[in-house]
Amino acid sequence: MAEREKVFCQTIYDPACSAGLQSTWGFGNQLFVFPGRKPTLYPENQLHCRRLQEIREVRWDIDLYHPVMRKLVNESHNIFVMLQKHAAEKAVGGSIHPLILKSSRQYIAVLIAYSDELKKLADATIDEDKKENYLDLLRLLKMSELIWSLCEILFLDSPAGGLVITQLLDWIRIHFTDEETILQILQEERPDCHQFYWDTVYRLVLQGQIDHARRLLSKHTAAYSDNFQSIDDLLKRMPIFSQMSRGHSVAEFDMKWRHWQDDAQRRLEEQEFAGNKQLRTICRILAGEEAVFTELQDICGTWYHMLVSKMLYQHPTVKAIDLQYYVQSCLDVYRNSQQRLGELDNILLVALEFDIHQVIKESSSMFSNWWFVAHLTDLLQHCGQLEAHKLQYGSNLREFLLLDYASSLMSNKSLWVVGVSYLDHCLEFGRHYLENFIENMPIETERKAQKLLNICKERNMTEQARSICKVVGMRHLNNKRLGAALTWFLRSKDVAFATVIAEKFLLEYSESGSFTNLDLIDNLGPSMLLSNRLTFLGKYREFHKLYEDGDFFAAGSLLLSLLDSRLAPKEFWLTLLKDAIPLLEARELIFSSSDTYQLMHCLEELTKEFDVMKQKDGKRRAFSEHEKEKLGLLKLGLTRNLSRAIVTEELFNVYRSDRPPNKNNQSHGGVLIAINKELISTEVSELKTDCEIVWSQINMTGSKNLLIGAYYRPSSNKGTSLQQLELSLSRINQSSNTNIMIGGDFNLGHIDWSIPQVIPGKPDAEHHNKLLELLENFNLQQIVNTPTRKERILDLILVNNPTTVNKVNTLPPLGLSDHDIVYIETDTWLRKVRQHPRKILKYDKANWENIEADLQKTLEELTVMNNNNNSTINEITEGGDLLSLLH
Amino acid sequence: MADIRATFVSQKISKIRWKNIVKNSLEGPDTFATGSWDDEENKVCLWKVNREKKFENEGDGRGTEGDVDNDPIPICEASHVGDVTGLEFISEDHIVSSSSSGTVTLYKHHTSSQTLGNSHQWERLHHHCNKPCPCTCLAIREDCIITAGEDGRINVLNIAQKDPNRTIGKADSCTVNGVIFLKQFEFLTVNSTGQLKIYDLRSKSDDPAQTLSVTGDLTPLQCVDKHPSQSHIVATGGDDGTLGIWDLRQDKFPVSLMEAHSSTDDGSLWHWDSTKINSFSMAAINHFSRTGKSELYFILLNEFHLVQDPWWFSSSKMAVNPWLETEIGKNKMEITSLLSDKSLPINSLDITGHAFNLWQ
Repeated sequence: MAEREKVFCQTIYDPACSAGLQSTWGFGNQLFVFPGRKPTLYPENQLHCRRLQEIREVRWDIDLYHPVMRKLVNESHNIFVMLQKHAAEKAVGGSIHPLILKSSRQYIAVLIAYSDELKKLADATIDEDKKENYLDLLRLLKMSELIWSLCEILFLDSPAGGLVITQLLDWIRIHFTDEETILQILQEERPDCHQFYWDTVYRLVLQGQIDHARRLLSKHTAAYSDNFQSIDDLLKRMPIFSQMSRGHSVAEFDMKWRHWQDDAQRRLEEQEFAGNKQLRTICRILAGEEAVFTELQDICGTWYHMLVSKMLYQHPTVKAIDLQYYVQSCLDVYRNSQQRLGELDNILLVALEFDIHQVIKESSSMFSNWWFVAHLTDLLQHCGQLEAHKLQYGSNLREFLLLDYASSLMSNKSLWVVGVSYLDHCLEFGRHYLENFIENMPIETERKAQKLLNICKERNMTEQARSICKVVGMRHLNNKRLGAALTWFLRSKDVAFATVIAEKFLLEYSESGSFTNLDLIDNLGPSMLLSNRLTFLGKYREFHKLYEDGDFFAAGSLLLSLLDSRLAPKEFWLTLLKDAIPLLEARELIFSSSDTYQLMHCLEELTKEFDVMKQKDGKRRAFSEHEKEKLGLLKLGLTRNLSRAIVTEELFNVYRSDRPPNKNNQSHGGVLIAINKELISTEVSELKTDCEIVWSQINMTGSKNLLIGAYYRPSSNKGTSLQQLELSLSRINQSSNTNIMIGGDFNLGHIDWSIPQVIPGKPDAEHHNKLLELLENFNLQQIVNTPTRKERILDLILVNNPTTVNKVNTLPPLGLSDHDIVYIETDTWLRKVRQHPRKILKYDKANWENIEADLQKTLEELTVMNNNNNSTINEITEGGDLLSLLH
Repeated sequence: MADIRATFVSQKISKIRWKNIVKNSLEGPDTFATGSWDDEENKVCLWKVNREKKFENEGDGRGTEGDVDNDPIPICEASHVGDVTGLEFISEDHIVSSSSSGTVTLYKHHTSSQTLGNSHQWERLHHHCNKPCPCTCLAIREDCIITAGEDGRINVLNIAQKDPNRTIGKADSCTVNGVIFLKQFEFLTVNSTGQLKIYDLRSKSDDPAQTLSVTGDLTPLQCVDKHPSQSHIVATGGDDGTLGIWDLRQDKFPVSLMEAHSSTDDGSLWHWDSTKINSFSMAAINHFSRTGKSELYFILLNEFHLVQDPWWFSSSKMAVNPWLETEIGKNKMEITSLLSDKSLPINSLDITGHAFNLWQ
């Protein structure tokens, strides 16, 4: 251990390494070495060699990981933390010195305890390698303790000018007493015959262990001779500094000492011990004779032992600071011997010279780990010994060393917890180090992640906490454990990943039609608000639950709010709308008319978007057949629902003429007009005649009144129906300046309306001619010119003022009907007053799709009339204030 | 407060369990098992505490009389693949442990040779496809072992059988953190979304018979234990340091939530004592955390055991269990901190009689 700057060499026997070695840093004190030069220089065709390459791990500071050293690490950690805590408390005021001393003693106690344990282990082991290993560690601990104790005496225990001899004696005593030999000697029948008898006595005297020395001497066979009594007397009277009460001054002690030593010298000069060489030697020691120490150099063993002994008998009142002046002579004695000055000696030397920084420096290079220097420096720092020193790199020496120590702990798989707490006490860089370590900490289990999270939480390291959650979450994600992954992303409030997971859930749903991880999704609570997508997922699942529970109203309104708030992703709208179908078909009316319009809006928007996408990119997916079918159902459901809603909500005034019940007394069919309640309308019952017809009138200020009629002529009718129509029309006051509009299924398709003439050769020419006659008589004009059923125009609209009609369209049929919808827009307002289009629709069924489009404009009013034979109701729609109807 | 004896063991202990004592024995148990975690090589160890009568002063200057516990001495050990996540004595000489490698191992303590042998291993009970996944907890009742893991799977094992009796593959969509037997066929799990689920082994369905949770709260629950005699009273420890007491007969929600620990790792150990009102006491331990700036210690519990206090229990005739009173904790609950200056988290606790062991 004594070599300075020890260099470890290890050859790697690997032919692949012949090209060179590369290395990269691992986690903490770790280096990975692998063959090869810079990757850029590596030709690709040599890649195959790479398979044979191995990566080697180089680690250092591993002696701390030895089981016994681990205990040392953990126990000293407690002491360290306690000291930091007290230091922080005391920093405000009060003396911290006793605490530091206490901590120092505790460190030493720990060192001794584990030295003992190592010794026991070493003794118990048979395995040579292990034993060697134990002994190495043991030597290390012993040395640490020796240096530490001296440092404690010099730097911590006493002020620089104080007397140190008592402590030094303790120091020497602890490290050099061979109690076993003493016991052995005492147990001998004739102790003085023991081969080490006198050596031991000398040593005891040299160490100032007067009581023990006297005890041994008293066992000598000649103990009662005068010589022995004399030396015993001397020893007994030897003044010991520590025995003096505090009140006595150093000077007083000095005087006493001189007096005593003079006495010893006198006895020596008087040849009192001439007959006994050994006693004489003792007396020479007591008298502080220079030469005798040299003679006894083997008993002292080391120069520092000799230094202390010499001080005891030559300068008992030496001050710590002055010790260095006496060192040289002791060193000289040992210089002659083979012993070279080792690192240990150097450290002790510089310590005696009070060069603290040198002590630390030398110790760092001597010990293979940072335990010793880090803790010692910490103590010294608290003591105020290091304050002046500022490093060019890093903050201060203490922190620099603690960081190194902590790094070696962090590099261990299990000691990292302790390392964290050391880093906590490095004010300047500790946090930065910790952040880096935590980010790179391998996380094998959730439990470890949990621990790391708590560490982050206590230290407010949100970034690192997020990254931990992300790592664990990603691992679950890769393992297809979406639920578990989500909990981790929720924990770190990771919006992006929560969204990703929510999307995966939704994807899973749209693929399989059912949810997994229900226990989690159902209980998300407020945490679902983290991400919109997640909120949607939670709400959508809630919709399913409501639906399953039969709470259709709540389900419906939730569904609508999902669409309306745009919370639902576009690609999911179709699914949502499909989900609406059963609700639309439910027995109770769930969606109000405005709800229905919103749903229609959404479907419209979606369809448009699909169209746009299709145009932009032909490859984009269009609706599949299945989807188209669903959409058809949806449209039907929507229109039906709307008609029900309108009727239920009474948004429209509905005027109807129901067909008389059939033979089975079932009501079916008839005609009706529905007019938005915002328009003032009344039924005109005096125009009612004995056919399927109904009339209503809309009164408009500043404009002509509008008379709207709905009529149905059964195809089988033999002419009475048209007669009744004529009767009805004739009752209209022709002078009243009214706009008349009557629509319906006339079932008279053989008229070429462009001429207009009956197409020759077709049946029922009589009825067709009758109709044309009617038109002429009442000055009406038929405005529908596109076929409404197959190739024929069955659904007609007759108006008396065709110039007001802006637009006539047919729209594709809805539902079961085979009739197209007829849709018209007219101006009924005076243009002067306000340019206000008015639309009047004639429908077979209302087509909300197109209406929706048109409704961007204002619909003022609309009527629909129609009559269809079999179905009872068809529908209606509206956006702003329009209406529609059917039979 | 009781004497605290600390021993350093060169391992990071994740679980510690006293050996079951023979009934009516006057002596407390003297053997316990530990499992380590987060180490290069993990181990399961058996330790013994020699109790001796001593009347002299101990080295630390405290005069002690009567039973003195010596430092525990290791008896034997066996290596363990992965972290030990659960550990129980299943019989006099058998220990079962669960591992973060997803494996469950049954160890036999050969008392004659003082060795710990591996008597059976259920490998990869927990896995993602083919990748092993940590098993997080286990519970035993007689010969039956239940394990749960990060894969949300629950396995029911019998020590006499090589293959699991039953596996509930999708028991939980997230990690199950704790499991405990309530009755013969009923067990309860807690998961990391704060739910308690009760399963009935007799039922063929893989769905829980009952699910309880704190509404709208996803705080993970880390551990669970039940009242020693009234199995419908259950206590849970949350990730944020809350202690929840649940009455399984009643509602979906906890009867009371008590905040104490600041996190699962705050290193404090608290003794919750409701004996002032009634019948038993509980010690809750937690992982500690001490915030550097604050002098105040909070607690969060990670693992606790309900302990029955024999004197009170036998004399108790009160109809209402104090744990179920919503008022508890306000003024009647005595809460004592059992550890003063501890700076590292506590991982595990086991109580027997008046002695307990815990490990940092």
